[in-house]
Amino acid sequence: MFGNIYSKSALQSSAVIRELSQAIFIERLLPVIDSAARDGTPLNMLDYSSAVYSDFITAFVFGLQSGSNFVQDKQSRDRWLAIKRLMLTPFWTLGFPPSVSSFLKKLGINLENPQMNSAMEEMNDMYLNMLQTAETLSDSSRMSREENQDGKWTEPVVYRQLLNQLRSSGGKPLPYPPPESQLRLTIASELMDHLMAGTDTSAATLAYLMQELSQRPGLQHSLREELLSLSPPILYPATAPDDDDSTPREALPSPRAVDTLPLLDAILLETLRLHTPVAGSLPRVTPSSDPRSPITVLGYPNIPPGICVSAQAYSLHRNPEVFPDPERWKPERWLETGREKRGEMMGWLWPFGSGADMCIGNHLAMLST
Amino acid sequence: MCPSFTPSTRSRFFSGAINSHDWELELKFVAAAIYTNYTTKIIDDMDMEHLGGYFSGPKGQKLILQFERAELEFKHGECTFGRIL
Repeated sequence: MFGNIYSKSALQSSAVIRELSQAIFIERLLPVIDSAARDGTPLNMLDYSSAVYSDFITAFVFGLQSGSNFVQDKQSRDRWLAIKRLMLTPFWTLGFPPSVSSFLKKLGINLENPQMNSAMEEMNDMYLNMLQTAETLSDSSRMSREENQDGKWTEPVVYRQLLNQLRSSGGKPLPYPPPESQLRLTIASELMDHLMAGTDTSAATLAYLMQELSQRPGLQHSLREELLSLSPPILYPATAPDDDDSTPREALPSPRAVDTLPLLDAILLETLRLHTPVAGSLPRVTPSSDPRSPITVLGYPNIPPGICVSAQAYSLHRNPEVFPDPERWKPERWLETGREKRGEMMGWLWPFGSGADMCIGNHLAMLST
Repeated sequence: MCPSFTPSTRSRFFSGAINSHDWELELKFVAAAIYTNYTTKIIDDMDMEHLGGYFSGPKGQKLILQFERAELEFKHGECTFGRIL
């Protein structure tokens, strides 16, 4: 029964993703790029790429009606980017337990940057606001659909799922559901880190992809040829100006068609390899082992249980035996290989910190000899 | 009692929400939408050097690009829009 609900929600979320792609990538971002192209004005793509993914992710979580609109609203975008910069802080200061910080404070050493704290509060408020809008608008969806300024309403997919999970256990409603105020804060704190991390990693990846492509006009040309083979291609503007047929048309090719374009795929894989957003170490503790089959990692045999070992994408992605000339961005390397070699390369690719729980086993297994 | 997030709830929830495959697809969609219609040239990418930390993003917040309308070339003459820029 649970599996049933689950697959239904997966189907529904892919429909929402499609709606959001149209509303945000096509209807918000492309007009900005188009007018920049026509005026010959350069764009700061890093800002726009952060904006576009914040809009996308917050809309997926809270619904299009409640998410950010940083692509079109310059003022709120600039403010948000400024807060984000203020929030950057050396990680080591976060490592202190609160008691240590308050003790040092008594001695006159203040580890907390007051500007950073107020920036954090502002960011919290921003997300709490979205949450509040999602609450109000999701309860009277019919009405808000009409009332919403641009008429766009999408399901707050993640918010709904999380709410349902918090109110129930194993598919059954909890006999004593937690008070709503507590639910709200739990949801907000749970979502915030992921909203921010998701935005930053996507934004950086898109920016690196565009930086690399910008240096290779020939490759842009080949990519465009491949993209024009989509049916329909993602042409903008969607209709010719003298076309008076104003019926809305299906503007996007199927996700599968986009996903299986070989050159686009190679370009993304190579970007994830060389410009991995989460490149740092992901430590794990070795499990208790059977003495007859001791743990071996990367040629280090007999590692006792309970020892911290770690791997990081940065190094895995630069193994010259798997990726010759590893410091160079060469999407061709993913195309000019046989199936077996490509499988090996995929096995060494580890761009998602988020999938770590699942992937770490594979990679440690591959490292062991 | 407030339910807490155990690692298993967390991964179940996030794999149900947006998984790495959807995430990759969204990157592909944006790149596809842009490069179907425009070409890009670098004006300033000095900030793009990696930070080199755990999150290895760019060190600054600047990637200045010049966009141009791409010529729409249709291989089989099947363009019904009749609109070649």
